[in-house]
Amino acid sequence: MTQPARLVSRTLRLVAGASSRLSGAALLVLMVLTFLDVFCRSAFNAPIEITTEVSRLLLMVVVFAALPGITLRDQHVSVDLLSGVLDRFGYARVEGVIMIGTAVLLIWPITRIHVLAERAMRYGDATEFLGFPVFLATWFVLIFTAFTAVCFLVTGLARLFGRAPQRDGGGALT
Amino acid sequence: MIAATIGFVTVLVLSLLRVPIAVSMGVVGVLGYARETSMTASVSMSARLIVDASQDYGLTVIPLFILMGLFVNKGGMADELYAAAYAFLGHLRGGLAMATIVACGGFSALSGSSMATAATMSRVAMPQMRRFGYRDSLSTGAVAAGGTLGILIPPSVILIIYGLMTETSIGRLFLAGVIPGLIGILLYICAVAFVVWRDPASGPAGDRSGAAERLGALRGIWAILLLFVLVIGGMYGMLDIWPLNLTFAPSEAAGIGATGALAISLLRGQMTLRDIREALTEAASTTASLFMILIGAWIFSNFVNVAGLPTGLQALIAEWGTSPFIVIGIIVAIYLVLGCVFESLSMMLLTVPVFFPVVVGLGFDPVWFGIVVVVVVEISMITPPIGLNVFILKRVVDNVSTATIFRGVTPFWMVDLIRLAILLGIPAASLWLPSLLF
Repeated sequence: MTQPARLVSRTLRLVAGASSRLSGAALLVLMVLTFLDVFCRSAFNAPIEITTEVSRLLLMVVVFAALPGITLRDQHVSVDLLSGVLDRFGYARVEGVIMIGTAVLLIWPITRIHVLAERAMRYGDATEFLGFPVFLATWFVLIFTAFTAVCFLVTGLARLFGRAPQRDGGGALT
Repeated sequence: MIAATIGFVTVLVLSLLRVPIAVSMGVVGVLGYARETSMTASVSMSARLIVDASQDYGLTVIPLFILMGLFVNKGGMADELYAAAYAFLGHLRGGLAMATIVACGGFSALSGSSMATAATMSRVAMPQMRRFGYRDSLSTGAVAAGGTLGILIPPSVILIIYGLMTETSIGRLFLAGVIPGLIGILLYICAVAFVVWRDPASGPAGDRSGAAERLGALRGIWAILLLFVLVIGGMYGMLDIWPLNLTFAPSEAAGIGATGALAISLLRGQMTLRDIREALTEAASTTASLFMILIGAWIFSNFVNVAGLPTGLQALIAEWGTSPFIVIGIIVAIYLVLGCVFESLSMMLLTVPVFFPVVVGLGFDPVWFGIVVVVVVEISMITPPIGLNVFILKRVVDNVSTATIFRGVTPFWMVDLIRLAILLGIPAASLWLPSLLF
């Protein structure tokens, strides 16, 4: 790996690591907020009114802030059934092309999400209780989807031109 | 309908070529939807889904239940469960394997993940079974099969996702999973008894515990019982009594459960800050992976619906005049075959949009179908060549071959088929309990 490539890879990993921690922190806040809402409602008959809105925003942070990290670590769920056969034929390079293709395809939704964000800003859309501008949330989704696309691109290039990495993916969720 | 069928096959082929499942479903969904409508409409639909799905309040239940399971896991509560089960069953021939099954069932009541259950219980139970000279085939088979209970006994992440996808009550689904889960425990114990009856050396008896030891072991599981009563009792209004007045929705139950699991683990001094950080990051990563698949599945589902696959299938079934039970048999057979290839959740997300409208159209109960799907998914988790739980065991346990584990799970696989037949033949086995409360 060349010096600039190593630098790009390290920087991406650092940023993705920080965004993973942000995702974990958002999950902790989501948990505490849910608990407090139920507690206040049951004990004092005083639910926290903003819970639903804040929970929705926190869920968005949990999901999108964790995406770049799992992309860099190749933790997207995939089927490993033919891995033995595929790897024998240097399939890692083809996989690199697939990842680059995924990054390119993500440009479509990213462009469209940008349109949604701009529209929300123009209309001045805001959430009901907090008055939180909707376009900010949409921009957050946009930025992290774009970051994920960059991670797909870099991982794909590394597969294509670098050494075939140890796979971390192929996992399952349940 | 032909376009949707081609799309379905394309997703299967792409997935086998190791394209991430979320990407396979998303790309085929976008292109297929564009073919049926227009590219602008298709991209617009996908972008809207990406933005909206991540801000759906109902979906907060997913990360919170995942987090609860991780806290329970890191909090070491599985050890007490195993100790309690061992105190009552350990002296029987094959008793440690039976205790493992029961402990798996108990752990499933706090964790919604099959793999987490298998991984945790293998750490707790395998050393004991090896100490008493159990054959690896029986001990690993018991853990791998017992682990599958994690996605049926509530809370279950996979049932939550089924409920959200099909707009079926999560509360009813959870209750519907209880009796099939208990039948599973019972049948797995019978499978252990059968194995040690045929080969007594495979599972020698352990030490007999005295009454005091048994009582002490029962006292050790107070935290687990408390958490279970809080989460499940709260969801079904059982705690809606003065001065508690606790009743909550599934998302709230998940939040309470996660906070409770964290508090109990901290109080018992079994969790460090590092554990908490790891659990949070892991839960967030799992949630993100899961949401990607969910979004991909929703895009694909929109394509399948717009292409008319479910309605086409319904029309075809009506034209053939086939019995609804034969249709269910075919669907179950398809699941069993797909289960040999696909990761459990992905398999469910890919197929439910197609099969659910057909099954409901034939007059079957959506809750019953959900339980049948989950039981088939459970079977797939111990079916070669994928059998995810088997590979978890292979990764966690030293010096054991995949062939040994697959040999070990065979009796459990057989009784799983019996359980499936019971559920298919007697819908009340899953529907009776929800009918009492809803």
